[in-house]
Amino acid sequence: MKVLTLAKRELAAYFYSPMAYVIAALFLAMVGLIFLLGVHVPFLKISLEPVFRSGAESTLRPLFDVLAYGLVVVIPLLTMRVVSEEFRTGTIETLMTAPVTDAQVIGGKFLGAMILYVILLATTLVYFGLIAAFGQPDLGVAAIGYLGMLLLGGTYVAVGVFASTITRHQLVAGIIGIAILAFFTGGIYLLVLLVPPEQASAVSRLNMITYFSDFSKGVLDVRGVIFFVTLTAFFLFLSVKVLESRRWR
Amino acid sequence: MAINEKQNPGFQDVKSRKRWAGFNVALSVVVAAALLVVVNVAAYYATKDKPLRKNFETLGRYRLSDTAQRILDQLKTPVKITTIYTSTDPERKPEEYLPPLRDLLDEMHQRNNLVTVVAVGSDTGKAEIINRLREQLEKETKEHRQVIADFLTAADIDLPLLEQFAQTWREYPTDGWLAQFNVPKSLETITATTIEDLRKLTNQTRSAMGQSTLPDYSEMVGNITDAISKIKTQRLAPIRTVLRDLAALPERAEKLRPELNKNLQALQGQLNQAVATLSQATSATSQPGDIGEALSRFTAMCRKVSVTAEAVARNLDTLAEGEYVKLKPGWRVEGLGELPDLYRNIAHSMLVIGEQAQGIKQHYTPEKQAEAVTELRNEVPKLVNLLKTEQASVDKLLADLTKRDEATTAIFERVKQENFFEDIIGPLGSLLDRAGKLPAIATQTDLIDRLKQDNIVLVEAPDNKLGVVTFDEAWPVADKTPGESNPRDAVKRVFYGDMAVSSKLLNLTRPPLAEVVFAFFEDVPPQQMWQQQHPLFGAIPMMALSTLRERLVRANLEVTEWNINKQKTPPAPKDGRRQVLIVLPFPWQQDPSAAPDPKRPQVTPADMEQVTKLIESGTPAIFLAGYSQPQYPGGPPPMYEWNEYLSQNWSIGVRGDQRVLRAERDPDNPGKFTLPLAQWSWMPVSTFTHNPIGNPLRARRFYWMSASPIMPVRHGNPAIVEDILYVPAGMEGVYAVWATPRPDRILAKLQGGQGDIAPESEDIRPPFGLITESRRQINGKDNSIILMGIGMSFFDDYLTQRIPEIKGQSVTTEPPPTGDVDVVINSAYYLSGNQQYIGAGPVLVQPIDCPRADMLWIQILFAGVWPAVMLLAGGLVMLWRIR
Repeated sequence: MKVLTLAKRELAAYFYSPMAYVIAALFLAMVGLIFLLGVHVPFLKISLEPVFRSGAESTLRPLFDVLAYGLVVVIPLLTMRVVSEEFRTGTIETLMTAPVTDAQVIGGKFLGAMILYVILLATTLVYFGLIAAFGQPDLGVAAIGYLGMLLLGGTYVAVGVFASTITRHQLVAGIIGIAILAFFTGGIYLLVLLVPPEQASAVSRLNMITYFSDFSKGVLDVRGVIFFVTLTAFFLFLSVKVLESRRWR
Repeated sequence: MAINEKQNPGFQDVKSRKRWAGFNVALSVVVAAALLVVVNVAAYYATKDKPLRKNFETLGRYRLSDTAQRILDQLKTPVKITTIYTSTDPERKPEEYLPPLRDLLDEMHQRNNLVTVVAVGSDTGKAEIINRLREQLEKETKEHRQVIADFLTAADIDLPLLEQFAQTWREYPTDGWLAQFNVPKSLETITATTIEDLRKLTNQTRSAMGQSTLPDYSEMVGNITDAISKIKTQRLAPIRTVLRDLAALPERAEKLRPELNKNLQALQGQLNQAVATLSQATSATSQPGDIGEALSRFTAMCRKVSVTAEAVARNLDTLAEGEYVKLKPGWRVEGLGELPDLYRNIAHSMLVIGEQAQGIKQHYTPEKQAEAVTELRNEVPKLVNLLKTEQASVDKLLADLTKRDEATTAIFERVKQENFFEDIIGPLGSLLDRAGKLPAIATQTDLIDRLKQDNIVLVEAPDNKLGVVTFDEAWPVADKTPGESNPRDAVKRVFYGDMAVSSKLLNLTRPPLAEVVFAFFEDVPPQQMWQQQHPLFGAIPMMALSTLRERLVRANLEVTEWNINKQKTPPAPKDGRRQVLIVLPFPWQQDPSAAPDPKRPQVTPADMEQVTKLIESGTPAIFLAGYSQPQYPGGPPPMYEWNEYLSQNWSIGVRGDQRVLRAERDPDNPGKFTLPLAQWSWMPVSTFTHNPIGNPLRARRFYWMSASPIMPVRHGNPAIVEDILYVPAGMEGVYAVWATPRPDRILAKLQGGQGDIAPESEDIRPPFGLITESRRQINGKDNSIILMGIGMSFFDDYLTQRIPEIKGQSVTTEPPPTGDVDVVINSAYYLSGNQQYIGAGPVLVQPIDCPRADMLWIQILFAGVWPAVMLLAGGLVMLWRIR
């Protein structure tokens, strides 16, 4: 109950500040760009065809695959203030003297950010509607894809919350969050290229995208669920421990 | 959470408390991290053999087909699959074509963890793989490489020797003894060609050995063997023989000279005597009885002359052994043939004259005898004169042959030595022997060619077994949907990786599934047959089907050839495998109006019975047929020889006299059609039915050549007939397909630039089959045959040539119709009871179809307005809060 109250407070903080709207608008612009116009950056050799184009496969999968990388930046920006703002303004003292445990505090913060993320994700349903109107999407793939986005997003949010607990500076928290997530996605991807091919498979199992790609193609794999849930729990546990350390440091 | 100091009474100072708390936190984090790892590792191993995963996809785009799952479930040995998608071709972009393949391979790995998947996305990575394969190949090919190295060493030694030999001929005097046979020029040319060939081959071999790509040692050894064999047997050995024969010639001439001179002198003397005898018989002093006696003496003399002339002819024959003397200008006597022939003619003539003289003596009156002798006396001196002239030729010939110059003598001294040319021929011969004993290399030439292609999947199984799935196999060209606004757009492809990769796994890890037996009747050497048997006449020589054969082997089918002409009984099944016959049309039969060639074996009813007996005993069969034009202008259309059997027993027949064509409707000329010239040979028809053979091929592009319609035949022994590929009735769209018995007229029209064509009354209009299955029960068991009216589409040239497409003024090409073979592979699987291995075809999914007009407003609304609405909402909330 206390967690829900804290989450509600957190969510209100988002919506009473312009930040949620700006991030949501940026998120939708980014998704719209990927979905309808594609991305072409010649000097970076990036060229993504629009997801929604005549003759293309009726699926949100390419969008999810790109979002999995895009959220590496978006979610830490969204969560960077959740705890560090409390440190900066000093409201953390009030919170810590309140009759709530550290775990409830972190749980509330996580849930609030998660709800915001779900709202953002829900806005992409209009794109699914578009595909359904002009193509033949596979409902199973879409449903499991959204489940994957929730699990992946949950882990990203947990990492973002953790990053936010370790510094009073929002920007630093954002950068730390991005760095951790970049390691678990692109970093591992690069590492796989460096290790011998025989070890590549084992190393790639640390990559969040490896697990997510199963979801994006409609496959529900227990290992993926366990990976995301345990990693989320781990970072939330770390966040609690960091917050707890403030009491005795 | 506060630290409970009561539980830690020992910590009196803050520092210790902090240290203890820090230790607690660190420990709990380590434990949590360990727990995280343990849970994930446990989950991984618990589900390693039987993954707990469910695919919620309903359309099957990212799912393994049942065939692939079956193959993977039976896989018992580790297999490494490496994707090497590094193409820079805009039509083969890895970012577009790799992801579905990666999904597929991931699923394969999930299904069976003996499959390891590795992705290579850079040229460096590809080079590393090639290097690794090269090392692996080099272990297998130690002996091959030694032969190649020895060849290069031998060539380095031989080339200067050959140069030296060529120099000898360049420096040889123009009036030298050998020049009379035109030998120096010929040998100079042959040696120069040999040097050039050898140099070219060594350069090519060195270049191939030095390249970073995989060297094809097998091909290299083959080239070396061919070249050495040619140099040895067709160049150097004949040169040695020629020179040795020529070197023996002066001595032979010298040896023959006394006898020849003696015989020639004797001949001249005998002829003079004969003339004198005749003169005596007709002289003024002679008595009437003298003529008869003189004629008898003359006859005897003629016989002597004949014997001597024969001896001279034999002497000359001996001189001309080895044929070189015959090259000399004086050897031929104008209008009379060669010199020995001249003397044989004289011998014969003298015999005849002698007989005439005897006849005159016996049958003529003395008065008449005198007249006849006078005539004879005029004839014989002509021969005397001729002999005198030719004796001069023979003398000159003997003089030329025996008179050697210094340069020739020096050459002959070398030639006569036992080891002449051995320094060159010896090492080459030994190399040839060694090359012939080399073991076959497991990595085939074809595989190396495939490895050099762009965007490939490398499949490696134990025992160094390698397979390559090419881009065209994983992504075959898609069928062009009839009615598309522009049917000649860029090439579209469909994903066929599931079948392509799993059949490679099948081929590398399992014994052959069945035995395909090609039944044919070939009575002449294949090359000759190929020249005689033009495909227009409906023949399919076995040697023209190597691509089909190779693809069948790659599809894990054993292939056997059964030439009924040589082996009257069918081959026994190998290892008890189920056999499937592929019956090729019999070779071109002679014009029935012409006299039969007794040397050429003809197909007999007994030969045909061998095939039908096998089928009637339960062996399934595929009959390849196609259009065949009359064998001579105005001749009757050839009949497909199996039609009678097929119609009586299987209720189907092929109209081999009709050629199917596919034309495009002329929008400006209703009821008329145009036929793009390229479609004459590459007729696109992909209307497969749901029959298990054709169903997986439905989304793909297929081209056919010289197709004939297959028609059901009502007969007393009905079978169940089902089309696999057919032309449906009423194709009212952009195209129309029909069959015509006069394709020559249509082709002439097309070549003459006269555009429009239309079906005529004698034409066959759809529906009709192009590939049809017929089933019936034989001895209580089901058996099937498949009749293919598109049999001409399996020629090597057809399957390997790119398809031309004329776009305006330019001609572009599409990949060759290699997929055509899949029809035969699927048929063989189906008929041999291995239907479960027929690969699933590409998943047919309706793509996004958004009109251009709608696209613009959708982009504005969802990429512009939708985010702006979010900003606006935020602005309103802020405004409300400020108020």
